[in-house]
Amino acid sequence: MSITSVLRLNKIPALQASLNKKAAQNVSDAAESCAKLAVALAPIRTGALKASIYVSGPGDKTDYPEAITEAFSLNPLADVLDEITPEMVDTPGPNHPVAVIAPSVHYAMFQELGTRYMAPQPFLFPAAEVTRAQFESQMIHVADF
Amino acid sequence: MTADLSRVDQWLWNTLHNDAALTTLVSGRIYVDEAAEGAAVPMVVYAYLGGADRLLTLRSRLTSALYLIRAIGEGEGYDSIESVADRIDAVLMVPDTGTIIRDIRITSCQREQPHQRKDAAFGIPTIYLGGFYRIKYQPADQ
Repeated sequence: MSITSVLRLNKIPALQASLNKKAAQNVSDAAESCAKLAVALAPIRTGALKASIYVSGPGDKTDYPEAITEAFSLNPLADVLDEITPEMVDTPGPNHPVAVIAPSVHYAMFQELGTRYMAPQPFLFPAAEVTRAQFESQMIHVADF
Repeated sequence: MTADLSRVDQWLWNTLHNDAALTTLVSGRIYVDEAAEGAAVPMVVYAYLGGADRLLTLRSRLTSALYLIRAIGEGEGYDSIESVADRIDAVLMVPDTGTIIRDIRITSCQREQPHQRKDAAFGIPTIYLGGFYRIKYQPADQ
């Protein structure tokens, strides 16, 4: 006895297109959320550190130029770092959406991680920790129809 | 319970200070957040960087805390602090059954990312070697 199965409805192409779009939106939303939280947590003296935080990606969108302009206006002594773009990030495959959240002033690292005589005042790590949990929760539903 | 992170701080303090090999390597110079100005090297400095709670049920949670724990020295190469960083990693072990400290259970402590950095303070090259450690814990009665 043979059994024949016939596929009458194929939603896989639609699912794939929807997946990529939703994933990119989730990444974008998470990046904006993370950046806002990092700005809120960043320590203040001139305000340049806060102003220097930018989001690059997904794709070509970036607010790096605005961030460095404002940061430099608040602290002309700051060294401005080059933009970290999504292309610089290793990903599991070519179609994974990527966004980078980073500060663009050179002393951000010292504030974040501290030195031997200066305690850390982290703002990126706490923002990333909170955003990670929310992002994972959103991505669980990325394949929902 | 809202101050449970202090128990993790205490566990880290006890674990690092109670290891004779580590304290010998740094002559007892193990600090939370920062060392006193002028403190000699090598030293160990650790600090909490961030974390998040995950609700398991309505009444139970698992907290994930991220710490930067590193050996600090002076010079161009990492040789002088390599054994210190090695010992930090060896000491931060949690048995499968977890470790109870006061009213929390630390369920795991694992290095999530290695850390290595150089900079200079007042012209003196400073080296950092260690890692970002993920410490997970929950109330001991869960």
